Amino acid sequence: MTRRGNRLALMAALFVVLTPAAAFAQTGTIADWGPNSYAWESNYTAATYISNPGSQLNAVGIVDDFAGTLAVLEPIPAGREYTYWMLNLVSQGTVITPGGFANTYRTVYVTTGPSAPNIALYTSPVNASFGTNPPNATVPSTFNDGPLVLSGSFQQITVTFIRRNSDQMVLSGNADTGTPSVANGVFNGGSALPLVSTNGQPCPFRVTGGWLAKAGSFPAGFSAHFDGKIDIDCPTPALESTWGRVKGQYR
Amino acid sequence: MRTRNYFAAIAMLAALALPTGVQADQFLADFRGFDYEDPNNTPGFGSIGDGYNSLGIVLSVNPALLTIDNVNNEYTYRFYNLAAVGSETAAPFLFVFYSPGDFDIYEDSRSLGTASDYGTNPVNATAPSTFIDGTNILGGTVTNFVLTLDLSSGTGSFNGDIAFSRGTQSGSIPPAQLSGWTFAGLTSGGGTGTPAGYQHQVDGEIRVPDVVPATPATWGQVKSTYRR
Repeated sequence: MTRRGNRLALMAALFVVLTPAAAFAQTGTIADWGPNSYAWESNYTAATYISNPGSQLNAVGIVDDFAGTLAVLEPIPAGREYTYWMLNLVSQGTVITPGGFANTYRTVYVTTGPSAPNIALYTSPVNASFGTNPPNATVPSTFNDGPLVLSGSFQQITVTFIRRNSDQMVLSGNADTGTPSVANGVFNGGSALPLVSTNGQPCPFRVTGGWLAKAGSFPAGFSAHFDGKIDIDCPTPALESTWGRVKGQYR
Repeated sequence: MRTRNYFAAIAMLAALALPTGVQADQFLADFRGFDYEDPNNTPGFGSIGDGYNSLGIVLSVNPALLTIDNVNNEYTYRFYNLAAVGSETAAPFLFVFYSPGDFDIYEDSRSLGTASDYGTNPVNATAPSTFIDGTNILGGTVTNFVLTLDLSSGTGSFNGDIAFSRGTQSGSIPPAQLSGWTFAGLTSGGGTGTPAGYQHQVDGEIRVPDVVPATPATWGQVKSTYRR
């Protein structure tokens, strides 16, 4: 390589290094739900905390915080609410890992299809109501009404929680869809899609958070309280260019 | 005596007749943040003697128990003084047990205070300092703190009891609800936005016992309820 070639290569390297971390490079939480969020299943044995194979998992809730690129939706106007619905997920059965302090319960729920929406956000006048024994007259209907704000698909969500052996008390847990990638955690619709896209490509996302299967922490007929959120992992955008254009930047 | 048995039976029936949907605990506060170890004397997470810390923001509270103004103030939380005293493995899971520690919530003016800033590699110039400035509105002692980690995925959770005993708003919580507990999910890796030097993203809640409202009454008033 000639000296000029080396210089240009160095410049190109500097160009990449010096490119600002992009107006849109973003990682972290964009939507969070907490106290008002519950899951239910079609074939869950509450007495044993077992999700039976084939059981369908759903969750609904009220978003209480937007952050990152969705922070523009804050503050949520009085009289308006943003709700989420997690759907189209099928249990692979609960596996118990025995331990001395606690047994660990883990269930993997896989999507019903590669294009099936698994998480969707809506906005409507305040009307969300959980009731009991879902699905019911208000669940999911008061959580999937109004315009679609954002929807996406993921491959699976893994729910893990522990049950203390000394008193059989269910303690903390976690739910997570795993590392975001172009194949796992793909937004595909909603009015806010441009806010979570870069160069026209939706950012990969994950759904994750605390999972509380302890009885008494959710209304009758639900199976868990899900304090969760959506995180995105947007790559730093790169503009395609030719060597001529790159060199032109330095002339 | 027969009369007393009668009322006792009615009281028991009333209790048994409560709808199954009655919740045994109640939401107090929702938080999101990150955790780190300090001191961190031994490589790896949860080593004996290492201290567990978590910092972050309080997103919402139960308005029946606490009062916040998220427009004008920022609310932050901190778990601290928790030292790992034991651990147990049930592959791929690791349980870490901690000594008693502390939890506090602070209120800081958005216009006059200092915005919270995680920075990197805590302890640093802004963490925890920008999370513990302002007014302590609620705090207490954390016990039975247990952290569970899936060593294969980096996810996990924690659980602990909290006895609230301090803060400007601790008096607004009924005595019967001052002994609460906490749980959170822990996540690491892509998308979590975990700053360098922190270990996990933390997303959880503080919950307190649900107390069924009771109206004081005399035996006469109780008995008259059952007379025509």
